[in-house]
Amino acid sequence: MDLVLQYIGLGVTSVFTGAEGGLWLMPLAMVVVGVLVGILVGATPGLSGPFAMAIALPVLVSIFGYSNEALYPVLGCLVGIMKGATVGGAVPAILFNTPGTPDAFLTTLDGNPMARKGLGRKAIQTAHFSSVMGDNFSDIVLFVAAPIIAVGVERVLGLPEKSALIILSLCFMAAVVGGAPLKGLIGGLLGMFVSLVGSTLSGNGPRLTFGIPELGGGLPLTSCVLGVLVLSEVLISIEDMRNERRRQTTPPEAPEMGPKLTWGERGRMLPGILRGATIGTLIGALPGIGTTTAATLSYDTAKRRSKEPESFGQGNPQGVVATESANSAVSGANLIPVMSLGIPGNFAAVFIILAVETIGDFAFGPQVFRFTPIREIEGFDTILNKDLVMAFGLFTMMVMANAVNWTVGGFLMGLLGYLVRIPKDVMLPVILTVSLTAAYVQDGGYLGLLSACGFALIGYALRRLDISILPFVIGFLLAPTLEGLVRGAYTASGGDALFLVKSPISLVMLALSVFLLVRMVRQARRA
Amino acid sequence: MSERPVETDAAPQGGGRWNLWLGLGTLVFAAVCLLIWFPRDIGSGFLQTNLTGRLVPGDAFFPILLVGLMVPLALLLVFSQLRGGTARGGEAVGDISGANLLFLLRAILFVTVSLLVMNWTGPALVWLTNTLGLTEVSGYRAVSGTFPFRASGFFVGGTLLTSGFIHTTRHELRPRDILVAALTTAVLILIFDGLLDNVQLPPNADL
Repeated sequence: MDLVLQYIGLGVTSVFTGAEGGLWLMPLAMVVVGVLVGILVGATPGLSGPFAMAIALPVLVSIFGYSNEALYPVLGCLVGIMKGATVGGAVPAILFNTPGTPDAFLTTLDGNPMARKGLGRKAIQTAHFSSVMGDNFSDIVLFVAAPIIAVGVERVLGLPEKSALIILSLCFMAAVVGGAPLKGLIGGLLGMFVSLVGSTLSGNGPRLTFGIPELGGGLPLTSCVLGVLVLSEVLISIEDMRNERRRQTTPPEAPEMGPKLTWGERGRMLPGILRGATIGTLIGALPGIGTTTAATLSYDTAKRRSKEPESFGQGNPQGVVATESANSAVSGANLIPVMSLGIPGNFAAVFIILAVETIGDFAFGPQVFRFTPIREIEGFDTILNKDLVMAFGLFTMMVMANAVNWTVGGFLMGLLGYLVRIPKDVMLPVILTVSLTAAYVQDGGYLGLLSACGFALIGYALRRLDISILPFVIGFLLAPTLEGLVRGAYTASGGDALFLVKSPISLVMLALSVFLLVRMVRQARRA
Repeated sequence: MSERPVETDAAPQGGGRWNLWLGLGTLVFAAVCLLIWFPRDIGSGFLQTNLTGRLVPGDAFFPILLVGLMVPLALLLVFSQLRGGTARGGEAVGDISGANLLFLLRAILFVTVSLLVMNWTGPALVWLTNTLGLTEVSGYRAVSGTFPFRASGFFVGGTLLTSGFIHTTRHELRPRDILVAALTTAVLILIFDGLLDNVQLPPNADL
């Protein structure tokens, strides 16, 4: 226990200590900036947390560079955006019946009727209180669960089992995201395949480059993800707006805000918040299942357990509590597979992993939570697990972001109603230009920009053909890890062709992967 | 950003063919990879002997596994479509129509023209200032680190790009829209060129 406390202490102090050993407040400042940007982005219909994270990452890397010292400010800002956006999305949902982020859609069901009854302030404060409480709850679960899972994985799983675990995660994502599991999995394999361009593990020169020397260093990771996630969606939105051939209508005036939420009312919300946060945390810990599922499940549960189920949809605050606590709890829990296994489960987690892969020499995975005894060797250095210190530093910044959300977030939410007036038909082209510029700047020229454009076309085709984007992106990110594991497992088995199914654990995982896919295909056929 | 695939109106009727084409396309892709691309573009084979004489995976090991896994999935997709007739065969079906392709072509054209303008504006400005006798420089490369030359291409090209897409969404372009586009580009110049030292705006990193 002493060792754990020592690492926690080192993690906390490392956030505030600069390279020279002096006080450094930049990470804290970036957390504050991130939360504020996140709340603004969340409250702007058409934008979302992952969108802002995608554009912010290249800008942050340009500002702070690629050294280990850059990791805290960059991650602090990204975590802040992720957390702020979950809170901000409720504002336009409540005031104008327009969800700021997709996961705030269910908040409109009861939030907007509350606002129309003259209880706008109460609805916003309910959303803020539930959202931040849900987020805090899932963070606490993350802090406890991630190290436990990681230690367990490190003890039990070897190379073949870790390979099988990644395959199982991909199959799970393909099965649960979207309605096309087979195509989702093909997309995941394609994502993995594309990420191999320009790489080599055997020292025989870069592979799959078509002889283009610029591809010899591999594809620029951030630009490619920016293209497939952000640019493709922007293109689709621009096309849809063009085809709709109608102007964005000016939203009505904000309704009467009404009285504040009392502390007594907050107290009565706690059981509902706890239920919603538990559902959100459980859903969020599974890769691929998004906030919408968590919010829907939580809303349905709250409605079924209510003594007045008919009041749901008519402005019942418990409806807002259920959706906001659940969808915010997903964000912390989503980092459980990221921190403990190195497997991202949603788009926000993708950008956290991307930042870590781009900057410094820290990497997520079970090895992070090795509690190496701290020993000081005279005249040399201190022996410790620096990754673990970094992980506790990240946890510290999450707590800081929660504190900013509690304080500034609540104040800011009441002022954001006007953001709904930003015209989407102007904002989307602006985002497109900003994204292309970010790709050029981050990846040193036209290679980055053209990669972003190429991946935007891939993303556009995937979306239009109803192939889920998430397995493609996760496959793209995890391919190097999986290749290393598979090659290692094969070599360690002495060249056994059945190297992946020799271990009972990996056999079970692979069987589960096949079962998941077969079941989903059958279910979809029956639907 | 939605975490679900975008629902398209054009999906179901006869759209099942897209899944069929997708399955067949994947099979063709796998064949091209295994028979043509990999042998020519991967330096080592499926397995190779390392310095200690041990047989270890080569660079083609993982790509072949990936493409090999695509084959049964693609076959499943094809058979499920053929067996299901016009039904969806269990998989959601999307569609890429001619209109979609036209839109993409238009978008590619906008981006290409804007990038060309970014590339040409700087040299054009140098030619103009040389002609007017305001400067005497050998070419754009010589002043590509000097303001306003270094930001001129990005300003004009960026404004054009944003304005072009605003016109696409609105079907019209008001002076206010051009102003927004110019201001956005100016803010980007301020951030990347003014506040940061180690980055270069387009096209300066590729001169």
